[in-house]
Amino acid sequence: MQPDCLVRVSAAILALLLSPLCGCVNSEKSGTTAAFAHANPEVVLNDTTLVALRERILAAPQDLAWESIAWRPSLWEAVLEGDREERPVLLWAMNGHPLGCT
Amino acid sequence: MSGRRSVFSNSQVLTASAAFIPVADEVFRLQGGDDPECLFFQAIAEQGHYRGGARGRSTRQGIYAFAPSGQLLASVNTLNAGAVTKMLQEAQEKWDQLPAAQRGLAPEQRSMEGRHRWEWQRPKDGLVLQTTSRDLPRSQSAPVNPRPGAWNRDYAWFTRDEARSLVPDDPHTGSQCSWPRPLVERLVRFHLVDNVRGQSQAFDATDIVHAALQSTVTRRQGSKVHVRVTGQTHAVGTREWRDHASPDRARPRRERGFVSDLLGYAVYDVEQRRFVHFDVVAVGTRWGATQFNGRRNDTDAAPIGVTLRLSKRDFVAPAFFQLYGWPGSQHPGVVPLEPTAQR
Repeated sequence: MQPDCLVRVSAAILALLLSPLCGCVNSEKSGTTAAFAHANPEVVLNDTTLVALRERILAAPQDLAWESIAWRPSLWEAVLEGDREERPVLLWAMNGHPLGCT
Repeated sequence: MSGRRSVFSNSQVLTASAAFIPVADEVFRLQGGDDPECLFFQAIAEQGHYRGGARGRSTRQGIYAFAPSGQLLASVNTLNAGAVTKMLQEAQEKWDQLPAAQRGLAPEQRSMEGRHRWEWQRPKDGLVLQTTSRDLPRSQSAPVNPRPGAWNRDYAWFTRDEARSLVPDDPHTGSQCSWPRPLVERLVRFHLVDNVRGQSQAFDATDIVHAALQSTVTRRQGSKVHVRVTGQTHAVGTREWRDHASPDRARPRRERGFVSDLLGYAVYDVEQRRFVHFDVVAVGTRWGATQFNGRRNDTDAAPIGVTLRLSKRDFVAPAFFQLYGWPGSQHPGVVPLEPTAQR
């Protein structure tokens, strides 16, 4: 079996395995099976694809330069440090932690 | 999250910011809380770009440069690196001209501190995972992804005892354990959500159609237990919410869902009683939208991936930590987090 066929068969098996579970949901969730069937069947997670998928998901180095900044963990710690060292404070404040989920 | 790349990964911003003490913080608590740290921030924000407006209800997001005394030097809310560089240069000039007496904290202020920060509940000696979420390639027949480069980050916390429960009690090659239901629920409800383009909402426990994770010991090397983690999750939820881009004020019920397979490997040291390696990937399908996750025009089912890896940073609380149910996870002065629009 060619690799391309293999991943498609794997996706089909996965969809079949999940379909009974979808049948257990209430009517509000009835669109799940159809929705899932629309996803890209070529994206399959297994030991062969694991590393490549992980690397695809993780941020690239050029997207992580902001991590080179020594962000202090709290506003007040930064204020006290700025006071001690006689330096101004730079605050980046967002809905959701800027270093986490924003 | 665009600011991470467009602003704080810009070399000119990095250079201009070097003179400052940098801090990143969640604005929701700062703009609405009533402890000294929050009030200190609110006084600064009232001098800045979003001054005015109702306390706690109007966003104060942005980038602020200020003296430790609380005197604002400059502020802006933008994804434009040039504008931030200019703001920092202006702030530096004002700082240089600021009299010494106006730079520092008043003596009585030095003993002030915040009364509550969620990261104070971080699990010391526990398991802290960093999650990264991103859209995966779509089939050729699927609608084009308008933001293929978007990704987001969050943190997942487990106590030391919870982390131990992810490995069989008597770990030997071939032994297996199912993850405890509450921990599976935590993962599905709070960490396998579509936050790629922005904060989403947690799933309710009743939204979980199916979820199971297992750890299987692949080998044991002294105190180190190597496990293979596998699992499947499936959550579907509906909520009423208003699309602010829509001219009417209707709040229709809208469905969103997340189905995933999980696979990865981890190493638990039974002597240190902690994971020394954790690298798991979830790959699946998301569909639908939540009010502020940037999917309102991209609701078709599409592939998504999430990595869960050991984190070195433990001072950023999970986005939905208030819903973890841990002692201290709810702060009486701040209402539970509901994501608000990015500006």
